Amino acid sequence: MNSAAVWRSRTGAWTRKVDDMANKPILKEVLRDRGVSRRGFMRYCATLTSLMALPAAMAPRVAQALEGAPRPSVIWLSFQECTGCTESITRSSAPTLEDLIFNAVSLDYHHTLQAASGHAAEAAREAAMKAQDGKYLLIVDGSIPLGNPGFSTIAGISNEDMLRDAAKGAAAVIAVGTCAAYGGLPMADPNPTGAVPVSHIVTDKPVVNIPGCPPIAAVMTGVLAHFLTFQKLPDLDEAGRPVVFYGDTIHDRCYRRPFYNQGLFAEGFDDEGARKGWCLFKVGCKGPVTRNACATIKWNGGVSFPIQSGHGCIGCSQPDFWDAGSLYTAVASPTADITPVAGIAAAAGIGAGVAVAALNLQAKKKAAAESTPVTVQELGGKQ
Amino acid sequence: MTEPGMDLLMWARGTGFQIAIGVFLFGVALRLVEIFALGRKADVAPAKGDAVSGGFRTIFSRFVPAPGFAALLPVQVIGGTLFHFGLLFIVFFFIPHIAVIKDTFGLSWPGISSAVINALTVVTFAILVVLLVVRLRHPVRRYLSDFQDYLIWVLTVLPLVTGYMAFNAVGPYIPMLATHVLSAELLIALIPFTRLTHAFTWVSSRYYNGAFAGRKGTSS
Amino acid sequence: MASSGMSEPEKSVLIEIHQAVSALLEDGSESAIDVSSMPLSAADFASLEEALGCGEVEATIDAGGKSRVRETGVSGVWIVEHFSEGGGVLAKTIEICETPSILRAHREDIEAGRDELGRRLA
Repeated sequence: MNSAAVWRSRTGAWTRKVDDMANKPILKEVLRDRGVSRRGFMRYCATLTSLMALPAAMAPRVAQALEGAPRPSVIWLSFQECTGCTESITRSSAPTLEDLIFNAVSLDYHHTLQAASGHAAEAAREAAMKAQDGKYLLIVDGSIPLGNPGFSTIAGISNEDMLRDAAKGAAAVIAVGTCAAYGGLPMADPNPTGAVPVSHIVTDKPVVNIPGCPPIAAVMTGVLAHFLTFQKLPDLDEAGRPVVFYGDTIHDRCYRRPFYNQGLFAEGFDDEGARKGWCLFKVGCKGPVTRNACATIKWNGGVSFPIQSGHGCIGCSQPDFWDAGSLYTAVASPTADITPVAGIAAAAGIGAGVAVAALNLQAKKKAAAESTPVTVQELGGKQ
Repeated sequence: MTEPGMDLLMWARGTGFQIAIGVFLFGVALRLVEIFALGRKADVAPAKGDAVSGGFRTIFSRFVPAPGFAALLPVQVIGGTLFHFGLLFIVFFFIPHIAVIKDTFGLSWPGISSAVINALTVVTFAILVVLLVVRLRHPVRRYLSDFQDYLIWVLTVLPLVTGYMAFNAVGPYIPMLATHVLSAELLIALIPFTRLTHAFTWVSSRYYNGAFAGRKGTSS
Repeated sequence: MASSGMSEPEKSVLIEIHQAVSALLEDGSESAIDVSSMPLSAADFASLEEALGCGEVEATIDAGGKSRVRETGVSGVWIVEHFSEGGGVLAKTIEICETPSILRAHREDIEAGRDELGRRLA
């Protein structure tokens, strides 16, 4: 069953659910209702354990954390975004890992999924924030426009105000997607809305960045599972990304690396090299400068990722990737057009050359005019 | 928040590249006009041979060292020749470099296996080190060497080493790639202001010597 | 089963398995090795499977997605694979135990089954 539909069918019960809160472990009943056997749950836990690069022996601990521990309250705020991040995580036609995680948490607010509830949803958010003050997880997707508060509002509240308010009582803040993590598409030149990432506004507590346009659903799930299992966030790098998923670049783990090493490149998208699956460096692959787990975890349950499908990586999890030159220009090739510079420089050089030449010729003439013949006696030589 | 090294790489690909090419072209134009405007001194003696054929012949004959020279200085002759070819192949036949040229000028040609270029880089670097050592150890050569000699050695070796390190993922990749591009841009920009000008004056220089001698009827 | 011609990662996994089986015999302690997150190439893994050989049991599981359990030629050493909808491998582990826990019926499922059966008999 479509999980988004599942949430919508429950919107009538949102206000009641707020009282019935996150402190009761009701995951088992939820799983039973959805026809997931204990065996099915173990399957999920084994997969999650592997995803988080934990030793296989930790699977029982992951299972215990997911079903035994209290379900933390999660508030999901969507700002200037395309909803791709939410879609990546919730759109599925069968129970998936992502589904399971959403059953292991108490998703107390998500304005896109709860759109039909109207004001009741906002009331639920405020109640959850109050009841779970200091304990809820705040997930944000989309950038925040600072140019004018009216550019993006929810129920008349500006994104900036809602974020500042919600971040105050959050135990942790997770910025999902490149827009929330680094500004993404809205922040691309000329940034008409004055978009900024979450970390620009939330500065008093750690912000976990899970970039990607959209992020790999399994990465999102892995981070949440880590939080649920260990009650703390995974290790982050200096750009706020979980090292376990963003430690390597695509190039580091790309299966086409042997072709790069040999120098076998596709020249276009339909030539012999492309058909043979050669390296996509020349058609603009940004794999060498992009950190993400696409080359190992892949997309849509491990089906494929852009390079495997024949298109170079566009660097969608990197800060400022939209302004990093053409998607189809090689990663170290120039982004600037040098024709005007070349013309001016050459002309200036010729001009300078003519000037210097004139000075040289003048010096030569002067030397010729001033030169006088010298006799051997003057030189002090013998007759 | 940024990815370490990316700002530098983007600058190198944008403004840095424009500056490097601009300074390079300015310098090359200046130098060529300066040199050719000086002209050649008129030779009033009657011609005993042909200048033009002498000139063209010399362009190619100078590829072979003067008789006895190779036996006298084998390290310099062999090493010098090899590293020039090495640099030529590395710069113009490594496919990612051809990609840069194609993206800038639209020109493209087949390249050489990256594995071969990788090995060639090590060999070329080793030869350059040997030549530096030979220069430093000989008292006369050391005396004759000035700051510029050492500067152009460093300028040539930096892109070689950083390029090798980037390709083989030695050290953090993104800052290494940025450093490689910047060091190449520095080299390009400074070529016309150092002895490296010989890179494009060698043809006219050899022609001049050949024509001068050819007209006099002497060998060159 | 010669150990020459084996790659280093493959050899180290086999040594680990050997130690784990000894531990299983000694005090019944079970272990598991996650091979999907190891730097083993496809060729390495095929060679590993060949080294372990084929056992007597093969089971397919359909519990919200497909999984497969195979006994290797070394009794007590099992290969457990979990697949995604698209057929990609989500996780692959080598379990050293008498029976992989995923094959066993679990108390909650048994209780739920008994209650359902009771309802049908009533």
